Amino acid sequence: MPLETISLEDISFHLTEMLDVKRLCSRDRFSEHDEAVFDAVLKTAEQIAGDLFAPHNQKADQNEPTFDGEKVHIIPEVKDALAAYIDAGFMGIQHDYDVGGMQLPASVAMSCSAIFNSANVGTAGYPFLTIGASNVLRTYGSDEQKHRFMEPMIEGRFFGTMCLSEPQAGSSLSDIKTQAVPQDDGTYRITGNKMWISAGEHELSENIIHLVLAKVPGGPAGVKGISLFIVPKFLVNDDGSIGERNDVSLAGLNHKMGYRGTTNTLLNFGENEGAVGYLIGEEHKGLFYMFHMMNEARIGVGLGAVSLGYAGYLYSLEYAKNRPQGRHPDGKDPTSDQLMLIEHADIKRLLLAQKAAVEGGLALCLYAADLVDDENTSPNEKDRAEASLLLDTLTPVVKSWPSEFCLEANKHAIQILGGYGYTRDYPVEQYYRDNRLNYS
Amino acid sequence: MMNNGAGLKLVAQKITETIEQANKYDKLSEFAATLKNSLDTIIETTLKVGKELEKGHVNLALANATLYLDMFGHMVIGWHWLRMAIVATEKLSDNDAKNPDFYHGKLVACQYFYRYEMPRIKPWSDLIKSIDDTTFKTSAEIF
Ligand SMILES: Cc1cc2nc3c(=O)[nH]c(=O)nc-3n(C[C@H](O)[C@H](O)[C@H](O)COP(=O)(O)OP(=O)(O)OC[C@H]3O[C@@H](n4cnc5c(N)ncnc54)[C@H](O)[C@@H]3O)c2cc1C
Repeated sequence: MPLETISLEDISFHLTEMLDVKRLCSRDRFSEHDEAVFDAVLKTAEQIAGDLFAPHNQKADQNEPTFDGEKVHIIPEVKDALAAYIDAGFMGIQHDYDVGGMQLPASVAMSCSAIFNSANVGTAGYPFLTIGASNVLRTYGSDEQKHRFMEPMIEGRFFGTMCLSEPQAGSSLSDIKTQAVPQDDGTYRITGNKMWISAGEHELSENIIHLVLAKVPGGPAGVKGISLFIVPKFLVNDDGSIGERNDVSLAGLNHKMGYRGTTNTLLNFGENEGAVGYLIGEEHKGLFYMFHMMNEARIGVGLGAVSLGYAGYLYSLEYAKNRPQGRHPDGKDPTSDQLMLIEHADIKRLLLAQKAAVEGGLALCLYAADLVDDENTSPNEKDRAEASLLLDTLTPVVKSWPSEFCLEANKHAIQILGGYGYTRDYPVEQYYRDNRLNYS
Repeated sequence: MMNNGAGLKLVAQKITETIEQANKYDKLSEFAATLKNSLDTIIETTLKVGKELEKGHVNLALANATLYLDMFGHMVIGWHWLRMAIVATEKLSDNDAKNPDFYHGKLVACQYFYRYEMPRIKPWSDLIKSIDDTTFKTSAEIF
């Protein structure tokens, strides 16, 4: 099915005319690619999003995941869509060839993620978390950790999570209480509760790799004493096979106003013998590792907001073109034909406001993604440093501006649909609810 | 961000490059002038907040940090609209656009953003620059 939730023409405009991404193909990392490859990847994303993501967007919202005390149940369409996503290689879109990745630029990867997000942000949440977690391991994991945990994520057999927040510590991570006690064998035992964990439990993958922030007893107070651990749902044997269940359990699902397709969980670590955890990098540097990765994740959050804004904009645009209603202020003749909504100046204002927000937001997010590519692969040191500084300065805006103003765009989409906009028979109220959660 | 002098300088430099490019096109000079104004306003605002921070009034100076981020964000988005408008103008003047409406759409949306949204930067700045203490001084008891 053609994808109606984002404009491929606009995405190509950014990649080709604004950012000239084909310039990246002269760099070693991307030398096997050309524009045709980028186009083909975008087309594949569009096709999978249109055929398998968009059709169950509403169904997943209306049938949110349930927990029967043992297992989480999710409508089967989610797993089918993700199977196609995985088969096409999207889990490894930015990873190296030698671990099974596609080694594509961040700007192209982020464009694909905009496509999937616009079609179905709840289902796209699982790969979003998995890619985020596998990126942390790529940068900071040991070779052994990459082999055991990251490579299966790239294959799509394992999914990932980010476990930062706790019931008593959300914004203020210096107050987390989860503890990690070192063992003689070099592993740690993790105990504590993690709240709001997206994709924290499901049956969509063979295993779930939690990346968990915790404190090693005796370490410095505050954020300087936070370390990062790999805590798998199932231990992984030396030969790569799935081992025993680790001591991580689902205390319950949170029921949210939006993003309902992505499970959101309260997880208990170490209620019994203590969950087995493996330290990433060095002790006490966990927050640094997490936030380095979070820069890319924050572009992802901004882009999520843009994508939902875009979907609402395009839907309300089509609606405005086809809905006859009313006459101009000076049109006194009640027997004359009604105008289409799009002929009214105030409706055009609502459309322009949406267009300015979502296309402006897309420009910023893809510009930021392009800076990630320059930061990582620009041939000269000075350009890399400049990209990095620009990115650090702009990243807060990349996350916050779309979250605020593309949500506003979704409000305008509802307004254009009038009474119909508030009903569940039309998709715009869901876009608004979904987008409100990007603000967190 | 307010502490990040080098970062702001670099953003300012990039924005100034865009303004210079836009000034080559008469139709874009209005927007270029507005962006220049907004950039000056934001630098001035940042310096004012920075002074307050230097005085050690950290909590007061940062009381309106969310508004600062919104204001800064509007300038950044305005900058990207001008970047898009430059490309659209070039494309339309080359007469080789497959779909001219697409580029006209970019120009209209740019104009919308500059006329309807960019003017919000000034009142945001006025409030932030005044180091207003309304919320900072409000006691929890009055609610
Ligand atoms: C859909 C969704 C998915 C999430 N997924 C994950 C996940 O996968 N992993 C994870 O670790 N977390 C996740 N979170 C948690 C999210 O990061 C937290 O909700 C967030 O950190 C806020 O924490 P809190 O809910 O405890 O609110 P609080 O920290 O109690 O904050 C409440 C309000 O006060 C404001 N506030 C707090 N401190 C200050 C301050 N110093 N100055 C001014 N204002 C302040 C906050 O901005 C907020 O508006 C998710 C949340 C949502 C909604």
